[in-house]
Amino acid sequence: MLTQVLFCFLAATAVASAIGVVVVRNVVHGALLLGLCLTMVGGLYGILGADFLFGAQILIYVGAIAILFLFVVLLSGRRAEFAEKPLNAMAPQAALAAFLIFALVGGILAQVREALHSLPPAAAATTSSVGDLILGRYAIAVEVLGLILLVALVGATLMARGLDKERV
Amino acid sequence: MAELATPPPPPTPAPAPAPKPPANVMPPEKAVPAGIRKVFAKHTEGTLLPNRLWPTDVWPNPWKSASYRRGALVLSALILAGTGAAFFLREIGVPLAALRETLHRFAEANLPQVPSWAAEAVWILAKALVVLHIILFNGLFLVWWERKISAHMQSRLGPIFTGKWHGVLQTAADGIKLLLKEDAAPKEKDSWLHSLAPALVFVPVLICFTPVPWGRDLEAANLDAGVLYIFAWAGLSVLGIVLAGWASANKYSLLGGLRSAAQFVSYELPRSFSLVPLIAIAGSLSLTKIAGYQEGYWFGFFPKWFLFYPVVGQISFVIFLIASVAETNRTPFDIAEAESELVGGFHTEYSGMKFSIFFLTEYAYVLLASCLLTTFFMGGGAAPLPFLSVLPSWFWFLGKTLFFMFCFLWFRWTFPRFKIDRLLDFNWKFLLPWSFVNIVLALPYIYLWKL
Repeated sequence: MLTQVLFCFLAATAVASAIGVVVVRNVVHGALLLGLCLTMVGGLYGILGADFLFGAQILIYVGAIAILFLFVVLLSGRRAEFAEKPLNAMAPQAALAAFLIFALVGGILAQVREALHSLPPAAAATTSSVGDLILGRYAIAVEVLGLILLVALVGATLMARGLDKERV
Repeated sequence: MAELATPPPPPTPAPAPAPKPPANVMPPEKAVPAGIRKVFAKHTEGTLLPNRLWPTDVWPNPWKSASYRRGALVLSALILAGTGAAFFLREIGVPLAALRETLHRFAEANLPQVPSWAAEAVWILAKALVVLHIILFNGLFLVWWERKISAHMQSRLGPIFTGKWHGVLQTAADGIKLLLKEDAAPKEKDSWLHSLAPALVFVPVLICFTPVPWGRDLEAANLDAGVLYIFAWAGLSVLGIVLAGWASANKYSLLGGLRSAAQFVSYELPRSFSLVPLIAIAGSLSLTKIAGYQEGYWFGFFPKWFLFYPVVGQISFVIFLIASVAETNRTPFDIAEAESELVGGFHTEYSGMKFSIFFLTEYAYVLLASCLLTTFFMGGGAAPLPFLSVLPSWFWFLGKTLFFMFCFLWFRWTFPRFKIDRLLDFNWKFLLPWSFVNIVLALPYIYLWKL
């Protein structure tokens, strides 16, 4: 019961703030709403009993990515308000694409719903079991992912420095 | 007549006031031990010390003063009373668990129409309120303590009148003043965010206190990923600081907010990495388990605190301590609100209660950092010697936390402020590499010791 109340609150706030991100004119408000949306999604992980995922979601998505967005907005020196309308001539196509994706996700969910319900309830995922998976079974995948991120980081630094040289 | 001719014997040698040395003259040799003088002379080349009056010159022997003796007596009486109270109260985790049971049984027996989860919800609410009040009273106490300590470090008295005894009620009076103050803010402010920012700063720190183990069975919630949880939420406060800077429509505020964010994001890395050896050795992210792992004694008397693990423990401790001071935005690292450069930094345009919430949050972070230092490095509620276990765990936890809080205040009034570039260099070129080295140094512990 408590879980259901919490779920309704978190899900409603997540959806409302996600709509807000798109609708709000002020970019800083938009970045903040994005942070709120990601926090609420983290809360959903929390009530599913995925402690580690909850912490990681807050740490990475809210603590790092939303703040990075805010930085970019603040440092880019643009005006905080968009002058244009949020909708333009592409609106109908975009709406169609959004509806198709929604239908796709809904269709998949409807297909696997029975299968999901017939699964045995998952054992409580502790942090140590997550750690065993990350550094045991999926160690290579995680390492490769880390390597890709490192390459991206070095590349970004290189590009930023190259731009600076051209400017100077 | 001869008696008259001789001068009368001098009166009992009253403590003669130390002769005030004239400026630019070294204080008398005896005032400063030769060893200390040698060390300082090497570094200052006679530029700093000659102008400085050592405390021993001003006040040669404080024990000769009656008020000093009385103060020491009162202080030891207070400490003894606290210890005695702790001894008789014993562990309060056990009666609290019993209280919870009683609440559940009462709800089941007398209120059948209330759903079963309501009793637990009431209990959770009570725990949240207790944590909130710990933070509020901590602010009340710590502001007063900081003012007293800073005053005594600068040969002043600090608040002395309000509340009769050493100005204990000064902070309460200030709080009332802040409540009544006009909430002045610039016209161009983003009014929503300007009001939201203090809340965004304060709420994360309140959440951060959830897994803190105040003693045996005294944590609000024993979270399996407690360390991650604390670091994740603590990282959110910077969002509020940046927004406070931006919403104020003031360039000093914005600069302060951005500086604070750069500092926070940088220092979070060595702070987390310095804990990796500890987490690997203890084998858990739960604060309760980490504190529990450090209970017990080597050779029957030497506490198994992580601080005492040779090399690794000390490096971790120093890095974590420095990074914690940086995260609280306090003086050696307070470039975010550097008064001489930025007026007041991100809270320049805040006044009244909104300002005091920033203030409260800073002190809450000091308390949080002290609690974490206690939990990670000093064994939480573990007693320093086996026979001292007669005192309950919460007493030891509070004692160690108070000690670290004193260290935080001490640092603030001892070190000068860093420049922003030095600050970031220090983090990226010194703290972070050493925290990586420390992880490598911890390997023998994990592979040899635990086998």
